[in-house]
Parts: sequence; C-alpha cells; structure tokens
Amino acid sequence: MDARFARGGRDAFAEVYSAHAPDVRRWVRRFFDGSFEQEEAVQEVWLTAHRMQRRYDPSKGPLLPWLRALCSNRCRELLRAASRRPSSDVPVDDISDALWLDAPGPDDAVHSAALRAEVARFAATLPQDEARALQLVFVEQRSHAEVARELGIDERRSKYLKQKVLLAASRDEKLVALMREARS
Amino acid sequence: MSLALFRERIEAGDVDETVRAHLRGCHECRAHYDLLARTARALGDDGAARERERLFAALPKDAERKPPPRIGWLAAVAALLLAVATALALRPRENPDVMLRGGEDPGAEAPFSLRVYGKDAPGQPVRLIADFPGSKEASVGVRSELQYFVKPGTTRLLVESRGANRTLPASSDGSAVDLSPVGKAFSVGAFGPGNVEVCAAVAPPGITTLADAVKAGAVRHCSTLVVTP
Ligand SMILES: [Zn+2]
Repeated sequence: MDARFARGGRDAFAEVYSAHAPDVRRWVRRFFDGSFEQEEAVQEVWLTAHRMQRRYDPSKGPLLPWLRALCSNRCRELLRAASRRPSSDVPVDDISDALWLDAPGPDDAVHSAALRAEVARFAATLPQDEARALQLVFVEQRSHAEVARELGIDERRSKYLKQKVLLAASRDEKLVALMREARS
Repeated sequence: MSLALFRERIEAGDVDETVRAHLRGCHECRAHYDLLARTARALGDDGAARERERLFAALPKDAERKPPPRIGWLAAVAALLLAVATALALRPRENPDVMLRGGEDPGAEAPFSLRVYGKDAPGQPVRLIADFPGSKEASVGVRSELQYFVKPGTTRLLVESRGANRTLPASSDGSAVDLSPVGKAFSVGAFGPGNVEVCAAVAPPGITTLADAVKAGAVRHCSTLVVTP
C-alpha cells in the first residue's frame, strides 16, 4: 500500500485514507479539544497528505510515521496561525511526539461503558419512533434513505427525527455531565 | 445571514461551508456546534462518513486518469475463459422487471459493481437481476435463488443482506480477475417478509465485517431487493 500511495492517484490515496482515518482523528484530538477544530484540522491534514503524496518515499520508511509527522506538523502550524498554545499538554519537541500521540486518550476505555449505559437510559425516555431513529441513525449508522424505508416515513422526517434526538440528548443533564467528565 | 439563522442551521444539521466559515470566527456558535458533535459521538455517530464525504469533495479531481492495466497473456486467456464460462453458465440478459432509481449516495461513486445473478425459482434459467449500487433497487420474487458476484474480481468486498428475520454476511476473497463470487447462493425467502437491504463496502486491509469496515472509513453502498410475492 505504501508504494502504491507514493505513485500517486486518487485510488491509492483513498486506500490510505480508509486505513488510517481513525489514526489521524486520534492524533488530532491530542492537539485540539473542540469537535469543530478537530474536524478542520483532520481535513487540513488529509489535504496536505494528498498534496505531498508523490513526495513520500517508501525507501525511507513506512507510511504511518510519515503521516504522523505530517499530522503533528500541520496541527502545530494551525495552532501557530491562530497564535495559540495547544490546549493540551503538547510536548515542546518532536522527540516524544510518537509516544505522546499514540498514547490512549483520556476518555477512551474507562468512560465508554458508563456512557453506553447513560445513552441506554436516555433512549428509554424517548417516544418509540425517536428511540428507533436513535438506534438506526446513530448506533447502526444507516442512511436516511434506509431509515425512511425501515420506519415507513420519508427522508425529511428521518432527518428531523435525528436532529430532534440529538438536541434532546444535548440537553440531557446527566448525559452532558458524563460527556464533560469523559474529556477532563 | 442572521446569528439566529446560523444557530438554527447548526441545530438542523445543515452545516455547509458558509456555516463553517462563520463557525471559524464565532466562539458562541462553535461551542454550540461542539456540544452537538460531542453528543452525536456519545450516541454512536463518530462523524466518519461526513468527514470522508467532505474531504473527497474538497480534493482536486485526478488530472491523470490511470491507463488501463496491461493484461498478460495468461490473465487474458483466463479472463476470456471465465467470461465465456460465465456467459454459458449464467446466460445473463437484461431484465425488464428490474426497477432502476437514481443514486442516493451523492458523490460516492462505488469502485465496484455487485452483480446479482439468480433464478426466479428453482429450476428456472439464471439471469442477471441487478447491478448494484448503480441500480439502487431491483425486484425479485420471494422464491428466487440468488448469487452475488463482484466486478472487478480482485475486489475484497464485504456484503451484508438484511431482511426482517435474518442478516446474511458475505465476502469475496478477491482472487479472480473478472468476476468473483461473494458468499454462497441463497434463497430470498429465508429473509422473511418484506424487502432485503443489501449493503457493501470494499474491505480495508485486515477487516472482515462490514461494521468494522465502516468504522475504518470505508464507504458503504446500499441498495434494496424489493421482494414481490
Ligand atoms: Zn455565531
């Protein structure tokens, strides 16, 4: 895959993206706390990787460390451009970068079980159609077309139900408290 | 655009580049967006599908189109034999009953085609029933027996067929040149009443289930087998 990537082309890029999108997301989370900034940074990292695709030289080492270095450089540039210090404990030099970036995030394993239980409690408070929409849209990641067919509604209604459930969840105090806790 | 309108669009999930430009400069809207995004993540939506869609829409179009791969003699003969054998055994022909509908995955062009071959009932001749995901929908009788193939045959494809009573996972090993079988033949009646949702994605390396493939960023293409009595 590394050599194919180096030869350029959209297919090879797509293949690398599919394999490493979760890694980049995880690394970016170490630099930025907010979801919006994380999304912007992820996009920037991948656009940069696409521009630099043909400059990657597989004879100098595997792709993953190359991508990680590119990611951390781009994130630092974005922070500098915003005249900001990183909000997390970003190391000052690159040496400990790899260790730091690949360390498990603070929120990962410990809170996910508690969060799942809290989501289940929240789901039980919803009317039936909203609870079904929560399951299909969020848990099973189905498209609105599929949800619409499954529930016998149209896609507009499916989109509406999704946003309704999302807003209700974002106002659920216990759920929000737990999400906050998970990030601290 | 008024500030209330931005907030409304964020809450409606209607976040395009105009809204994103506003979010870059507006702390208050960004905090609201972040809360909703974090909530969506807690509910199970990690945003991977949207991330992929936005990224690939932003990529410059490939200037160079790859030349078709040069096929060696052996491979060419094998492909020809396979094509002839397939033609003889399956005798595909266009089916007037297949209903076609426009795509619902905007921007997501599938790098494979999932061919559905089948018999309308045991003992009937085999025919080409659908070419997913290009055709989003095809009708089949409840007594049909089907077999999936993927083209190109080198694709490692993960497929999930979901009906009321059961979900059937299937995969191709990507070992053939032209067409590879995906899973085994099955009968439509086993899924129970109602339609069968057929979703497929190219398997990222080392991944064996469709759910894991989607988590790893693969694009899922879904179509429907409309089951008629
Ligand atoms: Zn604002």
